[in-house]
Amino acid sequence: MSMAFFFQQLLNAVQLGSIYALIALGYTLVYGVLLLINFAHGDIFMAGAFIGYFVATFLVGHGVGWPWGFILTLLFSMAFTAMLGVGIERVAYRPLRTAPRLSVVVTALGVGLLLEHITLGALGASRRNLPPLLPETWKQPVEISILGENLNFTWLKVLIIVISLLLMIILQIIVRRTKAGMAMRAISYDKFAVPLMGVPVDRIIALTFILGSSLAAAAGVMYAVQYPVIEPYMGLLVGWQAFIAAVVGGIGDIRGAMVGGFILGFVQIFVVALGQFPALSFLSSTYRDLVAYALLLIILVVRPTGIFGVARRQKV
Amino acid sequence: MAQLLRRIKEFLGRIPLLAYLLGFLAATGVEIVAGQAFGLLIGLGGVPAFFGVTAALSRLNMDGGLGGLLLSIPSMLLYIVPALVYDVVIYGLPTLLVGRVLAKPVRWFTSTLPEWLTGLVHMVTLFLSMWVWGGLVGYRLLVVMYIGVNIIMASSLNLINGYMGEFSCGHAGFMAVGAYVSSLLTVWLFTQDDVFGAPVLGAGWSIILFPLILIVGGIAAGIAGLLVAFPSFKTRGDYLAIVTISVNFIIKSAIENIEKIGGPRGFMGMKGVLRTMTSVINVPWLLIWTFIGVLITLVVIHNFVSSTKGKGVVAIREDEIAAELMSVNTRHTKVLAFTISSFFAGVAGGLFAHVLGYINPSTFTIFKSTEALVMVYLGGMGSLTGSVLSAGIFTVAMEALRPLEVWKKVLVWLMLILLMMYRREGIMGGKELTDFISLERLGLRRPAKEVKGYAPAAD
Repeated sequence: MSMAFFFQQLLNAVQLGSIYALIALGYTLVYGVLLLINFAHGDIFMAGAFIGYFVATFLVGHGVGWPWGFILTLLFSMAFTAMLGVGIERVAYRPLRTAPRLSVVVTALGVGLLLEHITLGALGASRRNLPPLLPETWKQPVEISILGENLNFTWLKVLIIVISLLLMIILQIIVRRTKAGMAMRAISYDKFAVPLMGVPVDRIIALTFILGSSLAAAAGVMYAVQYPVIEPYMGLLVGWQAFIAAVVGGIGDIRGAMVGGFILGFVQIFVVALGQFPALSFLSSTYRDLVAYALLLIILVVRPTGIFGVARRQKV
Repeated sequence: MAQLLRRIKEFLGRIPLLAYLLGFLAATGVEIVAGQAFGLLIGLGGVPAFFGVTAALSRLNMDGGLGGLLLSIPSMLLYIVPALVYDVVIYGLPTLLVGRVLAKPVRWFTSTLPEWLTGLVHMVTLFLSMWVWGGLVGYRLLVVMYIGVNIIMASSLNLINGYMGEFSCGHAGFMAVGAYVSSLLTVWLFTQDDVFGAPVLGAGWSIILFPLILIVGGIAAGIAGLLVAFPSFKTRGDYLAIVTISVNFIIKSAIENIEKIGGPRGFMGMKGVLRTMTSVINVPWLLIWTFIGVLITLVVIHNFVSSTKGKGVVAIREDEIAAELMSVNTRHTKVLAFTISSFFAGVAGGLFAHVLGYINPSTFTIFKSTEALVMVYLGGMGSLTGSVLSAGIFTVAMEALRPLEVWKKVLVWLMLILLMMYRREGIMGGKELTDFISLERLGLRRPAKEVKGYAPAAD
């Protein structure tokens, strides 16, 4: 494998992985606080992309161009999707907080499928394209030369990686340095004692959903810019991959979600990339999902808590 | 009002099950003789396929936005009134009338025959009424078979989700294994096919081997079930849910990657198998095997759950660690439960493939698994009769609501969420139908003879 080819694929992997990581963070944040696998999160990502589509269409229609068009689309989509996420928590999850855990999981699954089919019913199955928010030159491959090898990249990929990293840093600051973040970590540490210490649990849970949903929305908008396809089932396709990333990293752990996202992006990109070599030509792009799910299964059997996860002891 | 209701209840309760079945058979006879003419007379334009529900809903205008939808409601109501008249006149009255008249003779009949023979008579009557009722409109027969397939799906999933208390959400994956294995075998053995060439065996074999091939499909699915059973030793709850979902994805994705059997395009040719079978003896083979499959599934799962091993399954649900301490071999029990469950899912898949005549990997996605979940939770966890009931209701509702297109699915998931919020225990609430109506009352078991000369023990 030539070095240039490797770096090229590495860039692709980091870019795909950063989108996965952003979505995976939403899974992991909610799991950390509520111990609930929010199966609807993939569809919140989808909703984010659709909201981004409508905002972008409105803005571009009113002549708002680069860079404000892109920034406003990102922000508005994050805000509206956060509202959606909080609304789902309020309507569907909060009444079930004392219910057996499996009924909440079933509800989450149902909410996700409901979102998908409401979108399908209201907007149709046709694929939509985001209106041009970025200058066309950003999507053109640029050639640079590193160590005597030619390397192709697009500025768009760099932009996605930069924004994702920025959002992750902001998240880290919120979770590590603010009082609300401390409350979040406290709740995930001990669910019973923390409310007694005067921590407003409902508000912290709402904050968790705001953070997770807005990250998913950002991922949705960037996904829609990079791969210009928005459709109701994208939550099922991309959201589940991100979920795998969260589990691989250890669900409930923020670093785990980030690392898991990058690992999964790396694995998927290189499965396809290796298929280009004659000896490995059986690896076609259709194996991408198969490999991802097989990875998930292996992780769950060997180390169910993921890379960073700590086993929670079951009390007898 | 309350007294009227009580009298209605009393009246209905006096009729044994067999009399209802015979009454329904008679009603179908009435429909065959007079349904078409009566339907035309009251302005339905013929025999309505599903008690008029589908036809009524198809009057709704789904494309014209909210205004169009609202404007089309009167035309739906205009259809509902004659449809209700049709249902009462053709189905309701004959069923009740014949049931009431036959109630006494049937009671006498069932109390003299040995119980196994009574059971057989019930089964034959049920089968006949399904066959005759379904045969009148071809589409009905299809739905009757779907109900059978769904009953197998729901009750086998109930073994895991209801009795064992685990959360499996990958049932469609095992169904896919069974569907593919059995249809590949039947198409290879009995039909002229592009992939496999000329039939390997004579047409006569198809009748003998068909049930065996369904079992082979089930066994293959059972082996695939081990993929879930082994991880279940270490993981429980939502993590096991992820395992099942990923097994579902893996199976689907693996089938998509095998170009030989059609890959993502799917596989067909099972209609030819049915033609081969009916060319030998012309009876509705698929209905027969679906019917027998449902019976066997229910009997096996019921007996398994009431056996010592099966009690271990319920013990795992209540408390896995305590069960282990009480000498339940949890690993063995889990493997057994998952294998039995996925075996029947495979059988259901084999039947489904032959009913539909065409299978495609994207039929067996998580959507299908979740539909099975809805059926289990609707009927109530740990209730077999609940699963039967909910599979029937769910399948008929899905077919009847077909005119609603995508919104039909929205209703399904909304129902799932509302169920979880307001009635987690489902229709039956973990009880069996026989807890409400005794077998004696239904006429399935002989009433216990009173023993003379003994006074009831005083408290």
